[in-house]
Amino acid sequence: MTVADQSLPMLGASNFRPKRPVTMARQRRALTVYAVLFLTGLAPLLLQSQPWLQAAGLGLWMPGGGFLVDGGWYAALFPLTLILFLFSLVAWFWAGVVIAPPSVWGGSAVLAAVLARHAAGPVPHGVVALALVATVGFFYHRNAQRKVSDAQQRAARTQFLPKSIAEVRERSSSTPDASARELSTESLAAMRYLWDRALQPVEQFGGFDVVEQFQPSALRYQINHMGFVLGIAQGSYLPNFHGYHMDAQNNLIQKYLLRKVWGYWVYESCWGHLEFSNFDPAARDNIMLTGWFGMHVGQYMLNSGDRRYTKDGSLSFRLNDRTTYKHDFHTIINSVVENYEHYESQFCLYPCEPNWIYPICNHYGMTSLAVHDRLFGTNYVGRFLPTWLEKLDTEFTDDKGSIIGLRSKHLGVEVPFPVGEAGYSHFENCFAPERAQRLWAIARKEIEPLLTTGRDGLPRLKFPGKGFDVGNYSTGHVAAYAGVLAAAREFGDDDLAAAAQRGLDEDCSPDMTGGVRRYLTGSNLANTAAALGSIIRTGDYRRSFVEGPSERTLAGPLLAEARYPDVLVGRAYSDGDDLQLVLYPGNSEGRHTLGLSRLKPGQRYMVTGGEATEFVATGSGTATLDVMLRGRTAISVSPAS
Amino acid sequence: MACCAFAVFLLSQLLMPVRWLMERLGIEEAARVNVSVRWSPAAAPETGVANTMHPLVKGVALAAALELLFAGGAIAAGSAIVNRFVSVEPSGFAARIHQTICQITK
Repeated sequence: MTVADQSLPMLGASNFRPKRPVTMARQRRALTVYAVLFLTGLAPLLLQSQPWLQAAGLGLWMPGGGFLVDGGWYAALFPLTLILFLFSLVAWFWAGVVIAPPSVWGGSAVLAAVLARHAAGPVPHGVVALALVATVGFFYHRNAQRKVSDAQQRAARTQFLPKSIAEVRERSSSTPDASARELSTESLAAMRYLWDRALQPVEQFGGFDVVEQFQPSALRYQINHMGFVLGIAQGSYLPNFHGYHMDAQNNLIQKYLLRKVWGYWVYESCWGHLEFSNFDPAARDNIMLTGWFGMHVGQYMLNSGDRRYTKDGSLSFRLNDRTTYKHDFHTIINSVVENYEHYESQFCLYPCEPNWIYPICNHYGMTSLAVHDRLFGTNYVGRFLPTWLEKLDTEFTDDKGSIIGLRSKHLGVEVPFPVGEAGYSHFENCFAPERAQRLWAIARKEIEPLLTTGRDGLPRLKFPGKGFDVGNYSTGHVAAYAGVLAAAREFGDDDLAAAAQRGLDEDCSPDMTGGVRRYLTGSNLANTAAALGSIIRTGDYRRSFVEGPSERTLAGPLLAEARYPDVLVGRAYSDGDDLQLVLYPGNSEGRHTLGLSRLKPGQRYMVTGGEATEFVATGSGTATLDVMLRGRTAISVSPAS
Repeated sequence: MACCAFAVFLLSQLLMPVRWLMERLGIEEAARVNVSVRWSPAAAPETGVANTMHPLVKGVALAAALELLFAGGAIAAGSAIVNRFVSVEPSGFAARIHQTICQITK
């Protein structure tokens, strides 16, 4: 795999300002269009045209403004229309309903024209003009304040960054021994939370949050992130365990293909792209599906050695009895490639919902290219990353050097909200490790003020307020603590990871009912993040997408069958010839039968930890092994010399 | 978990006022413990699937419905007053739209 680490926008350089040429061009275009609307709306007043024309014209200035022309009761429709317009902006953001804002704006102008009987002179125009000035003044003032605070924060970052980066590099350099990894009992309890959900029939969604399918609580995001955790476990701890762990991963991938999960795109195609016949979810835009799913499936194949999803039609989205959109891993990734080609000369980063560009989803997109490069020797990252990073730095970076979370493709406006460097860091670690370390170096320092002392007298993280869990739109800090925990682990920052873990355990109602670890005040998505934080160690996230287990390991003997939850697998590793297992009883101690495969046919194997001390593999390279599970049970299978 | 973070601010700005209003009005928020997180395979089928409309979504839907009610009522009231005091006959296309709107709001 080729990875290009780009130089960063130089913090501290006096001439550093993102230039944003594409953004400026889009905003100029939007302002030009508005200027035309404004002048068109002014003309009826200047020409003393009929009331309905004046109402329509004033309605072009601001949503609902036309209702002021007639005066009287109709004037109440002006503020109500503004509120409705706000709802339409929410619909635009939430589900890509591009037609909503112009419908409300234009529709209210038409309605005002229909209702107008007499004109009240220039006063209504003065009122709307004042409202416009107030709106512009509000945003101007807010932007000015933000510029000041951004400059202060940039100055502070310039001071602490060199030392923090050095610390991050030192801590990131020590990676765990791939041949000695083992899931702890706590991590196994977290894995059970995921295995329980992933092993149910594909059509069932017990234990998932089903709220809506457009924004962060959507099923597809839960499925992808559960898949990521299982994929990391596969590569880091269980490369030689198939059985129920593989079943869980394949179930999640099959769940994703259900219309219940991807069907949101039918609506967004209609009201966002005005596309009423082709609802292929892996065609135009929709990187929130192709990038995420591409990462998920690619990671599974890289860490398991299974290549089933490269076959034609293996990832098909069935709309109904007549229409199926046939895809496989290559075509999913090809959608990302084609969209980056299409948008390369514009923002390069491209939309999720029609119109809305999320840099974070484009990080998933770039990571999906990275895993394809690793699997199939392509060079998509090398092809697109330079321009992608250039656009990220110039179009999606604010004055303090942080990534802007969301920008409108059509209008160029940004939606200012804090995403946090920690959120991007482990993604960039997959294709731009030095930039990723810089992101984490910033995040770890800026989170320091939240460190306090826990109940055990040790440092803990403490988030203020009630928090907000986007997994179910409720309050809570599970996702926030888990996010810091996972990022800290990825970069070897064990002290901060431990502080985040203490925050989780003290604030988020941990529960171990039935041997399954969960945080009761969190959503399914947040608990999945907590499971990730439990199992991940330095560099695991990156390795699971761009390295994977060695070919020798992936060719070695397998633990193919074990009964869940009776047998919990904490380790399954091969050096190519042997098989090292660590098992725990899931419910109670007892005797269980394991199924082994990919042994050398006819080979005699020696066993330690099992009831038999040796066996001979069948002609098809399989064997069964009886074991007595009592607490931590280590089993070794090695070929007799 | 960046996927969680990217919409936090905007969603909180939009949903927090609704939540504040619900709290002030005494409308109970969904239990702090998430039902879906408590789910286990040994439970009854589909229990723990939080597929009823989330209370916050209900609140937003209620607000939207009230908004449309107010808007419709304002239109109806305005139309009634205009029709009583103004004898101008709307013509052609505008008349048809006006008639349709009046029918909807009656």
